[in-house]
Amino acid sequence: MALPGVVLLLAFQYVPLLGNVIAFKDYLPFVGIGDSPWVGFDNFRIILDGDPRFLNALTNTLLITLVQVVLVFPIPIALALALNSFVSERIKRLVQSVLYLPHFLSWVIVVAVFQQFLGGAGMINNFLRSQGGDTFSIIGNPDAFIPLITAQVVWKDSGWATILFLAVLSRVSTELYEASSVDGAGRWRQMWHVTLPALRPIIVLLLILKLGDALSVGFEQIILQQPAVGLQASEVLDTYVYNNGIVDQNWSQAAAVGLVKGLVAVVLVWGANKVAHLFGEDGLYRS
Amino acid sequence: MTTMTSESRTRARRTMSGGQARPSVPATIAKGTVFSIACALVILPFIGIVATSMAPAEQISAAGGLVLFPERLDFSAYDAILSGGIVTRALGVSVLVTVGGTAVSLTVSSLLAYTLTRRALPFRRGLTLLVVVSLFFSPGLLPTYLAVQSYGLLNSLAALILPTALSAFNVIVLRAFFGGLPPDILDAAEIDGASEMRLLTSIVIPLSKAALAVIGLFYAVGYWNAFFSALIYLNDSAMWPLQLVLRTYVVDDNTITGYDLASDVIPAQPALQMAILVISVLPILLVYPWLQKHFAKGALTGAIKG
Amino acid sequence: MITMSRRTLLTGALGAGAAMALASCDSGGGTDPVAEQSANTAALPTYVPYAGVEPDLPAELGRTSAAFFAYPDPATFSTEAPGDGQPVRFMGPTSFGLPPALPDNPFWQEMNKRIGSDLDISLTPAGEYDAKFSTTVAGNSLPDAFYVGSMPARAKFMVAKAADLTEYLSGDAVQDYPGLASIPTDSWQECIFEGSIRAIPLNRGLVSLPSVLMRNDLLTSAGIDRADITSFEALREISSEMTGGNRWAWGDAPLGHLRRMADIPIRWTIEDGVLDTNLLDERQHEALEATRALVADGSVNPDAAGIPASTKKQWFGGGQAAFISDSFIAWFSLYVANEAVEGLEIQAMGIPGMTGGTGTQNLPRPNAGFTAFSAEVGDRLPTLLRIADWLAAPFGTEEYLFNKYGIAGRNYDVVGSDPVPSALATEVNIGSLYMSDAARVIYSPGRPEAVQSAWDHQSAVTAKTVPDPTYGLESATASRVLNSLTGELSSVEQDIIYGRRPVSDWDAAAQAFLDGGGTTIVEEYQASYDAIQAMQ
Repeated sequence: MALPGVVLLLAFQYVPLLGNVIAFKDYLPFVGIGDSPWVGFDNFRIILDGDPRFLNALTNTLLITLVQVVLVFPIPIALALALNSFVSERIKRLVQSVLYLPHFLSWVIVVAVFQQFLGGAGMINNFLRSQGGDTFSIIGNPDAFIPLITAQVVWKDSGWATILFLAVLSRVSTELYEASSVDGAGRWRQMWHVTLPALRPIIVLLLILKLGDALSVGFEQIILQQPAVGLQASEVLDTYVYNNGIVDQNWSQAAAVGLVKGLVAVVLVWGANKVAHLFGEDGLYRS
Repeated sequence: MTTMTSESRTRARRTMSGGQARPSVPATIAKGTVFSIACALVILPFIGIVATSMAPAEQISAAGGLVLFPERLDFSAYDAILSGGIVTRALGVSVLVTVGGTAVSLTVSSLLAYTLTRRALPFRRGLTLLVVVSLFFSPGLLPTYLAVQSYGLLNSLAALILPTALSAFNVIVLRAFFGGLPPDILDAAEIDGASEMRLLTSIVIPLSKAALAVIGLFYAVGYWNAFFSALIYLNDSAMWPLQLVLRTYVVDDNTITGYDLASDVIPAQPALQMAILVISVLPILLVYPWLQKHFAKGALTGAIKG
Repeated sequence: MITMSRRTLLTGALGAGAAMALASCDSGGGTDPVAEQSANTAALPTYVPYAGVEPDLPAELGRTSAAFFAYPDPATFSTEAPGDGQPVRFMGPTSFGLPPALPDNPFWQEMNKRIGSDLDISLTPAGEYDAKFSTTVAGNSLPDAFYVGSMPARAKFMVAKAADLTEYLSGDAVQDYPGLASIPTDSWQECIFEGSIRAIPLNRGLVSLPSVLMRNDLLTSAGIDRADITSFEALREISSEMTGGNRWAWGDAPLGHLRRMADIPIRWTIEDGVLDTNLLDERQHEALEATRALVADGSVNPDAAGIPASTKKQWFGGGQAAFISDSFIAWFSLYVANEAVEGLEIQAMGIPGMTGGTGTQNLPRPNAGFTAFSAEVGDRLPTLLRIADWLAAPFGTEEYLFNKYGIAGRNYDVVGSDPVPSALATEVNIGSLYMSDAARVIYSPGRPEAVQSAWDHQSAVTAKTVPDPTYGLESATASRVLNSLTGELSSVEQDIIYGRRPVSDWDAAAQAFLDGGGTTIVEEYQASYDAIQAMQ
């Protein structure tokens, strides 16, 4: 039964993954993988030689990941809980439909929309200026960069991310609620004793997966906005690799960084999984 | 149940269909306010997008960007995009790829995810690792292209489906859903001699409709929005899906690679760009309410009763 | 291998008199025996300007493009269909919306008929072309003809994968292809790799002149004469006057323009045959200070950094920006895009010195890239060249009119003698002009005054110019790290301009550029330059 899936995985993930041997070569597309010369760990120098720009990018990446885990991750859960408690099924669906809309806009558009509204020459500032009031600087302000991209992520994906949690909640049997109601549980106690426990496995699962992604934060979103705020505030690992290799078509270096990121992710996820087991959760997998 | 106090009886009467207690008035007001603001923050830009797509050029030019109320309706942007039959053809390709791809993806993912929940099956641990590890190592553009080429998939719509047909993330999530089903139902059926395939199709899938709808939507949106695989794998632009065709109308990207090809090209007018957005989001908007019905259904409720 | 005895000498062909590369020599460790044998043996194609039309305003290399007020009476250029009946596959980028597919596209069908071969064109949006190109090269599936995208070690790539055109195009041989022969010589220098001609150029010439375009109508109504921009102080003052309310003088921070005013328009220099950079020149500080001052004055749109080019153009059309940096040729597309704007008058800003006198215009690289033929096309090469030649039919010919504007009465209407694009003009955008193109001229249907102004501007600002001395030279290091070094440097520039770092940080950044590969690049360019000099 697993065969079709395994075939797809092997054919489109693991077979091409063998091509990442170019991480140890000086790969030129017209020479080919086989004939490109071996260069050992040369391509890993971009992340191993301790360049301060790399360290800055790493710091920014981890900071943004931290913000996203602490501030962004709980928002869809809270939204889902609130939506789930709506009395009217119709309103619930309507709100949900509205909130998931921004997910379908590409980052180019989201960035443009934020500029149109919040930019120094955006609608709100233009209005303030025409009223003779003070203007504010959010777009293009390095100090506001992390709050800005956080707001963009929340705006674009929070609604969409509720879908998964709502699907879980839809399975919580009515009987459980009724039983707890009968036992005199109020609204909050129901949430605490029925709803949240139902969500816990998926929350843990998604957190662990998020941790595996810790070194990748919104590449497209960030690279689009780098010119406005400069690299000090906005350079993250993926943009660093892009700006210092991929712009010059350095495929080998990109592969090298990909391998390191993969290894780090596997270690992080493995560790997080162990921690989850300590707390009695299944986590990502349990043998 | 017979010892129910009058207090709890009232409480029970006050519960809603889902069995949840009725929220207090202040909580409802607070929630209503928060959601109204959230919806407004989302809707305002969308009004801008739709209004700009239908606004006359002079007005947009004077506003320097988005407008919120068109002075008069001007559909010339839609005319420009929809003429020539290119968009209609691309829409057909996109629908085909999205529907076909989602069907393939859901089938393959359900089979794999189910297998991963079966503790008795051999190699389960190895399989799980195979799926999980693939999540963190991405093979890169050139090796993937070479693989797709060697399978003879270039210039076929299959190249838009098969390489992305299996998302490890979706399989893992689906497995979590499947694994969360009460084991006693499956055990009972197993004792009755049901085959694995039968367990999946007549118990697991019917009980996981909400999850399948969500994962199906994840896949469908992925296929719908994808343009890069078409760009890389297809040489014939007559086979392009909608997103890639629409992308050619937005001239801006020359800033990244620095080609000076676009300098004598007239830039796409904002109305055109916004009309493109509307056209590319609209089909999903139309399908969503239909899918949404499945999210809300607690398919498990009935099953447990029985 | 043939050895050409005849050489087209270029010295003096470009305004500033820079000696240009005849050929290039890969210094990245080339032990390729073929390369050694043939090194520097190719002579550039002889330039034979098209004599069928007389421009209204003349072309002069390094000074002006030919300009036409109206389309001349079209002359037929070709004698027969160039094709051989077999399809020709081409791959290229596009900056246009996708045209209707062949069955729905009468222009494309007519093109195939006239050429006598079906053009099977695979287009990719320009921003993504490098990815497409790299995968196609990696998969060894290049079509008959292809636009050459970025590629590390590009010279080696060209020698390995692109057909050698030397035999057909070198020296007077090019005269069998009169369209290609009418492309100016400087364009061909970029097409020579390791001593052989491997590509045909997509000429732009001086229409790519980096410029600052101005809403002169707005200046006039503010009572400002553009001739008063005679120094940075004057420019700064006028910028302030043009700023107010929700309008800003500048749609971008004009570092490039101020570098031209400070006489350091490009970073590479050549003096007495010695290549160098001016990165550590103190005038860099002057240009940065000046740009920073405009930003600090509030004369630059606060959202200018990182805004898409199309938004900048919208600001220009809407009057929210009076000045934007763009390519010279955008002058005309901005007229077309803003036909609804009443009284619109576009001019380009002159280049005074910082404190008066004259600044220095940099001459652009003459091509918007180049196209090569696959080394595997074999004996179809002459046919492919004939098709390229046909597509390069010069301005003034019937073929040019068809290639650029399509079918009369369908894709354009004739007004006077000018083709005015109709609603079906999009059918023309099949991408053939990225396969091969004529030398560019200044021409905009129905706008003779704009043509005159544009030509006058070219003529004025090219009085004092520098070319890019590295044009036509090879550096293996540059092909591998130049983009990232440049990106790093320009991020520091942005930080300085927008006040996030002091101007004094520039020197360290410039030094980092040099230490990170810049110095090696200069040395490699020098070696390439010396090899060419030695040959002459």
